[in-house]
Amino acid sequence: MDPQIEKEIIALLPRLRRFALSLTRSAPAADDLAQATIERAIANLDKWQPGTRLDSWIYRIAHNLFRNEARNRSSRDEKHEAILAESDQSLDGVRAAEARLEFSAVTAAIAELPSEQRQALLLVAVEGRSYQEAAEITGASVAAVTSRIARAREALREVVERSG
Amino acid sequence: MSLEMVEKLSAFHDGELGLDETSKLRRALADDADARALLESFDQIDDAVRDAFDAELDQPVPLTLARSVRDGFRARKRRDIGTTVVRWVGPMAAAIAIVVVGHFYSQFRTEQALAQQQAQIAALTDKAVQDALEFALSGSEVTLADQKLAGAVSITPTRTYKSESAHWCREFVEELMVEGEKTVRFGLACREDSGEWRRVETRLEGNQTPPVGRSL
Repeated sequence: MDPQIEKEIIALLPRLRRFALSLTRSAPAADDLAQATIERAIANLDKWQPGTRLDSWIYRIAHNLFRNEARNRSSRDEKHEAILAESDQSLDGVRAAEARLEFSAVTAAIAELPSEQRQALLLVAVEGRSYQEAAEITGASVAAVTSRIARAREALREVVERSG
Repeated sequence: MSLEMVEKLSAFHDGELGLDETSKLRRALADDADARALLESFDQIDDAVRDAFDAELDQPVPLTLARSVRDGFRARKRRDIGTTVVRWVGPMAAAIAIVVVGHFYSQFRTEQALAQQQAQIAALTDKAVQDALEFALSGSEVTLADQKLAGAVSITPTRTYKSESAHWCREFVEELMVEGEKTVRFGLACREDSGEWRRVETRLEGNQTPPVGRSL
């Protein structure tokens, strides 16, 4: 079974990284979270129940790791911001220009959302999860997920209509 | 409009409203142009949100993440083997005998046959590399199998970037399985103007990630 699961996890990496980014908003922090999540998931793979969604289980690990480290996060974010600034300077001109062009108004508005709203939006609007699934992954109630998605859409409405 | 109404419309949009509430909301929508407009805007918002989030999937995944997966499973395998040794000494002795017999059998193979097999593996690998790097998103695996060879090659692109010389380059994980033996390698290839992906680096271990924007 392991070789198949290994392939599934490798295929999941881009989405896991995106999920982590929806929590951290910082690419280096997202990579760190994805790394820690992978290590935790593989070490505890025996706890995953075959027949259930592997990606949901791994998302839940990422979410819990992020939440459990909330107390230390502010200082870590500052450190990552510094690293991010350094890596920005190391990018060549072409990449920096491309990055600026790709950073649309909608992307900026999504980045401004509270992480709970951004995460709920990703799971429901992008990945097509039910409210119940999103609630299980994030450890929230269905009512909270309902509220977060509505608030996120309300917050994005103006900028989407303006940019559309 | 009240937040409660926005929540109801949002849940209705996602098919998450109960039957009773759905009926009530449908009736209310008939007389409420603002609510209808808000509901319609959700499609536009979701499209924009999907585009924004999907763009993140094109960002290169650090090779260290793929390597973590591989290393994690190797560690699991070592642990499982340790357990198995204790429980299955007898069957293992038989397995070792099979391996030994296999080893002596392999010595009888002619060099010509081996060279032919290696050429076929190389051709299969090259085709998989071309297909994966040209068409697969990072994190997606492309597998080609050859029954005669009893082998398969899986290529998973992990990172994409543009070099200083404006070539698109991609890092990838290459898994080669031939006659039950698995080899994992890390590769880097860049796209020629002709559309062919030229392999510029192949390594078994270590940090393969080259500096961003490196020259070819």
